[in-house]
Amino acid sequence: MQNFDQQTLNDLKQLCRIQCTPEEEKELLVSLGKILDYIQQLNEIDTSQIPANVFHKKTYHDAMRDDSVNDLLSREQYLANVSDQIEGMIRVPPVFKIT
Amino acid sequence: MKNNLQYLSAVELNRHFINGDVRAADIAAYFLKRIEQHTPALGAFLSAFPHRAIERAQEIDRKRSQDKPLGKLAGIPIAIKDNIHICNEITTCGSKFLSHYRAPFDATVVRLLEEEDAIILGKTNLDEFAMGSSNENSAFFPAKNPWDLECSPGGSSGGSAAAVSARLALISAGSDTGGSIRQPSSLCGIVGFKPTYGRVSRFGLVAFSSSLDQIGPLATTVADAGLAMEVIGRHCRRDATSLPFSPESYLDALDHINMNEITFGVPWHFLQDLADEPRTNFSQAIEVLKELGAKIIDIDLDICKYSLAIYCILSTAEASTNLARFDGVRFGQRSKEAKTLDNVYYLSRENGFGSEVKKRIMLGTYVLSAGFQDAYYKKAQKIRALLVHAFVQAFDTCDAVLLPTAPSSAFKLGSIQDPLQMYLQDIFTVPANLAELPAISVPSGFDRKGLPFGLQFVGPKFYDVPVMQYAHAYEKATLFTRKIPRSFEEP
Repeated sequence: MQNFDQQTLNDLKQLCRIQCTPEEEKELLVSLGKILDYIQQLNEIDTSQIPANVFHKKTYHDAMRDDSVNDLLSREQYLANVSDQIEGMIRVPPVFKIT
Repeated sequence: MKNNLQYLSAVELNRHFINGDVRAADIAAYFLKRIEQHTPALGAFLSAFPHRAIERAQEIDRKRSQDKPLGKLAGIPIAIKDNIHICNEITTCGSKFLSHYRAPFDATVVRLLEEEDAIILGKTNLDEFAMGSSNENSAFFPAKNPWDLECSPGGSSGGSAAAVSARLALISAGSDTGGSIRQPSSLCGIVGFKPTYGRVSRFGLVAFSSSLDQIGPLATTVADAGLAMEVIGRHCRRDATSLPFSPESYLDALDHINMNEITFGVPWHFLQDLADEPRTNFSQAIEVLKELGAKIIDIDLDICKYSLAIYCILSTAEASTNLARFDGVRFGQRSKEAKTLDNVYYLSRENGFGSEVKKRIMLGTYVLSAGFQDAYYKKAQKIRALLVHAFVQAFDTCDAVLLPTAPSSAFKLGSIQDPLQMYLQDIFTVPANLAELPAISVPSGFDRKGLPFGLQFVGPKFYDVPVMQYAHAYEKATLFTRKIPRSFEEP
């Protein structure tokens, strides 16, 4: 079993900005460990001679388009789904405290 | 003719509408009534649009009575998976996070369908953010399988598959990241098509894994799936990955195939763990293709056994990035208890996301994190390139690859608790996503309990039309595609 411990889970919660219930945490510790065990099978393949990003280089090309202004959403349409707003702007709790 | 419309395919219903045998408004009312009648037991729809659908149908009726040109989909009732935007309607993605999110624009596929006079009836159930293979991850309620209401319809387009299988709509638009169109189509006894990556615009599809996601049709026949592709399979400037190709003609091509000239490859070694009953069904399907004149050869695609591990890494890595936008600030549910900006993120995501989504975001963040990126993400990308190469080599010797669509027929809801076992539902569908190939699932018979199996044809990149031709030839020889689950036969 992969070493997927409580500390790793705590770090991930912080990186992902996600809180979990105690039941979820218990399940996550077991199932993420199992999944990481499963994906270890990729180590059976030696990829040391394969260049990085080979998939992207072979598959994709840059998709360029003209830099032109067109039918973007209006401010009203954009803000229609924002739960807290003030004078046409999104309102969030303060980031800095004035002391 | 206002009754028994559920026995018709979309192509047939369109013909009856054009001939004046039935009004579009009657079609809309007929299928809306079926949705209302069956939603409590089946759970296929998350929302229905009776007013919008009837108004649209009346407009189409007016066009016909005034002899104005009619679209290719005139009068056809269609459902849309609820991760695809319809302007001014709710897009939940099967998540509490977006339970009140009203889309401010139409997805390109929705615009194209409506331009061709389709009648959009409503939006179908799915695993939250399309993450799942059973529909049990829907934040609202699971869709059921019309062949056995105690069984899963598969996922993540489980609601779309159940809706078409029960004839609550004749075509549905789904999305397929690792098999989410084909696996539920197999479990529900219908046709499901995942086009070549880039063939159908994803503009307006809520992104899960951008290098894998593809929109495609679920339908009762191959011809209906082809008809839908003629409409939605076109270039879109709003999707940077959209292929710059002209739309292809599917319906006219379907019968123009000489199966004596076709060679199918079967990767028997990759299929060595297939259980007895699906193996027998798959072997019978191969015999049918042989009788049609096709040549069958054994091919080496052993690398496909790693496809699920590659998928676990790449799809979650991309999901962790794509779902970072759900922060409770710009859209979706914002926690009322949050007093700081950090709290807005933490609490909104805790309350809004279900367990599977949290798990995949965390796994994706883990495989991308400093110290692990080379071992997981970059390694998986390299092996993805090997898998692409293996398919290219396989297509040097055969025209298409044959696979079962799913490792089993429909399973009981709640019966698969181990996440890895659930992910393995996609073991035969994921390779086509990783290699960006067109693939179709077509019904191939039933197990001892009367639950459907599906046969999958996987073709070379851009060979979407030939893949449908093979499936159509098989469909004509077997006639499994026109079966309706008994409980849904009545008007």
